[in-house]
Amino acid sequence: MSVPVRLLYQTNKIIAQGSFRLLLEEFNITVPRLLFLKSGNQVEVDFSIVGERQP
Amino acid sequence: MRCWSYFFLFVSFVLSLLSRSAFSEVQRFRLDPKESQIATKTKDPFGNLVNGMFRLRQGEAWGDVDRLAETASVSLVIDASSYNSNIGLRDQDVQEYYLEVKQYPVIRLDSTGIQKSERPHSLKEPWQITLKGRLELLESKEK
Repeated sequence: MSVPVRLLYQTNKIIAQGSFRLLLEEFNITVPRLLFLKSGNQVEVDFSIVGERQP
Repeated sequence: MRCWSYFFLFVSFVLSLLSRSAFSEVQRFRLDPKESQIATKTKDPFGNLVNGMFRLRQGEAWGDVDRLAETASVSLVIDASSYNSNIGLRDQDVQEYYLEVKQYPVIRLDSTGIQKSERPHSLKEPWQITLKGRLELLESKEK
């Protein structure tokens, strides 16, 4: 997978933000269904990851 | 004699500046799980948008800001059983039948490469990078 990330660099921490889409079938996850109705096969993922600088 | 000591002092000062810019240090960052979040959007069988969240368990990143492509690396561990869309029964279904959290309790991301766009003019500006990685559901070792 390839994800564009916006990286904010601060003195004592970094913040990585971005989003990407993935298909459930790529991870061998069965698409949820209710009787004959199927859920979406696509999941949109938004992330905001904060890392604290280590000494 | 005194002149030589000033000369050596000057040379060592210049060398320290050079080594700082040419061989910047590798910095390490540890995930702050409370400040971090992973949100998901998908559609339910009726076409309604379902917003969900995952909790991050641990993670770290390290690299040299001046040589991100060569030195940077990221790893994240996501707790698969933390999926929460504010409807308990649905969350239980997703965790149990679709994510199979008993067998795959952890979702893991490991970077395999980082591409960086042009360096911003100052560190206060955001960097645009492309993270290449492997996202996988990790099987539990317990049988």
